[in-house]
Amino acid sequence: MGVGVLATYPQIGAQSGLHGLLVYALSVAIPYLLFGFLGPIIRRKMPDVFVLTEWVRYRYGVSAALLISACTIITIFLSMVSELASLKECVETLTNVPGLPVLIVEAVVVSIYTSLGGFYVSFLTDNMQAITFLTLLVVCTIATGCTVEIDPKLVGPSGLLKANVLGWKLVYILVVAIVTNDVFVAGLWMRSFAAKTDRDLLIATTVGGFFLFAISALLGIPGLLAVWGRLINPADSDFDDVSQDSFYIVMGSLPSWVSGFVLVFCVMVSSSAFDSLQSALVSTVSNDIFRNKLRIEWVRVVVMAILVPTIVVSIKATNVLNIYLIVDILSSCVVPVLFLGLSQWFWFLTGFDICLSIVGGILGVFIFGTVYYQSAKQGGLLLIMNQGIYGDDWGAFGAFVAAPVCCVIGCVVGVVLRLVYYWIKTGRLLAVFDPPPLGMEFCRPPDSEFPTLSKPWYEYVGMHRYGPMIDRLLFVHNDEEAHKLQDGIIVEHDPQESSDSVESLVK
Amino acid sequence: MGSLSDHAANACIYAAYGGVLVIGLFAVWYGRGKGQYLASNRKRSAFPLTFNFIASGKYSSTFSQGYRSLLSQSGL
Repeated sequence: MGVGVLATYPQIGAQSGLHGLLVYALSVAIPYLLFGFLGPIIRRKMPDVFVLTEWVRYRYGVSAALLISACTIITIFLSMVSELASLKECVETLTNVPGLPVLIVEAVVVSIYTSLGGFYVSFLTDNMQAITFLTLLVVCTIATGCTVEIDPKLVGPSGLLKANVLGWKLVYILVVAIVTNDVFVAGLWMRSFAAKTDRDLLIATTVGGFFLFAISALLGIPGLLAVWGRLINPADSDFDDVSQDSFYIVMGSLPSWVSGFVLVFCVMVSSSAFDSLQSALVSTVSNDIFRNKLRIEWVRVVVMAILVPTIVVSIKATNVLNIYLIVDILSSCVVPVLFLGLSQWFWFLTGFDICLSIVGGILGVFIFGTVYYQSAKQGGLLLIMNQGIYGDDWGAFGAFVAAPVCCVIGCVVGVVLRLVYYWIKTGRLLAVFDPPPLGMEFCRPPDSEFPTLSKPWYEYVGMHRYGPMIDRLLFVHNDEEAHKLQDGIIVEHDPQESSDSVESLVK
Repeated sequence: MGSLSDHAANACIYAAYGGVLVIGLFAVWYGRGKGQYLASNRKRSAFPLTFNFIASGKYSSTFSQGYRSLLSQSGL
């Protein structure tokens, strides 16, 4: 939650009224329940995981993991760009100070302490950020209540309290887009896995989600007040741009010390948001690209090096933020199937199925667009969300329906293809669905401090050729065996029995 | 809101960054040797975690930009 929210929510309030505002606030808060639900399941399977991509690598293999890593890194990078761009806008709206030096100072200051302290520091400063934000909110709410006068006659005709079709469409689009995209926000996973117990996580996500909803909705109110108080006029041609500054306009009638107060708080909030993103990027890059083998000094250099493109892009190419929507559609093409891998009922899913589900989702959106718009070109443009997600036709809505549905179809096609392959290979039709020989899912004992496995499990047990077929299933009977396996010691009866069982499966 | 003078604005911004740097470095000093550079799995209780989840709330300026241009088209 950076300074961008001070522009985003009031703007939504001013333009789409209470309906759009509540939908938006809900769709930001609801995804948190996902972390409270999935976090405990993932870390029961892998107690030492700290980013989602690590679980994807273990469950689905390198190809699927690289894809999810790429989406994660793009999402974090764009969020950093977006945060800096918002700060620039904030500073230049509130003051006459040029934005670029401020961005550079923020990037340098944040990088100094983030590169020294990493996630630990980011976690502590996030507490400061939340408290800062709540204080800002209380002060601004009191100030607004005391000073802003609204015209009751404008409330009805403004239409801001009425429901609208777009608002209802967005209930679906935003929830799907944000829920699936939040999966790529590494910082949220790192916080989920940082929870001491599952109960702590559940409390944090539900209470945090509730507060986030309340804060988001409250932040949009200045937009409504600005219209009702005749501070901005929806009939003006520049209403689109002006509504963005509703918050600052509403604060405008206050004494100058409030300006300074808001400015200082914005700087603190933005720095803290930026360090969270930076630490998430560092942890993701270190884990996914360098497999946590790079010396910490070099990781710090990577942190610094990332800053240059971030600043340049946030100044030069704000249109790059449209990539968000491409990542959104891509995430809704993969996330619905991805988490099936958490269930033991879907043990047979592999990275191949995941890759096909993405292809299926993308094809589905393309075909839907082609049919809906009667043009292959429009179908292609729908894939990159050329018209945004707020169009008055049903294109974007259809895309966000087609993507998850066709992703499931793609996954089914993948399973069928493998079924045919193993049918031909083994002569048995349902060979691909045979339960695993010794029937226990890969599981490391909880409360352990194991280092990450450096090679796939099947290399430990000398069963390379079965690896791709049965993927993440490991033949562990109890915690003791799991411990031995971690140390590279193979429990005597296991590999043989497993080998035999798998051998018979294949034959 | 531009009632702040340039000098005052500069002072506010850069003093705030000074404060942020001091807080950040204090946190670095406080967390030294705890080995939580990349992650701090199973170490955080519900209360600070709640603050962290509030602070990590997401927004996307693209969503609002889309809203801005297209909601006005749909006559809101």
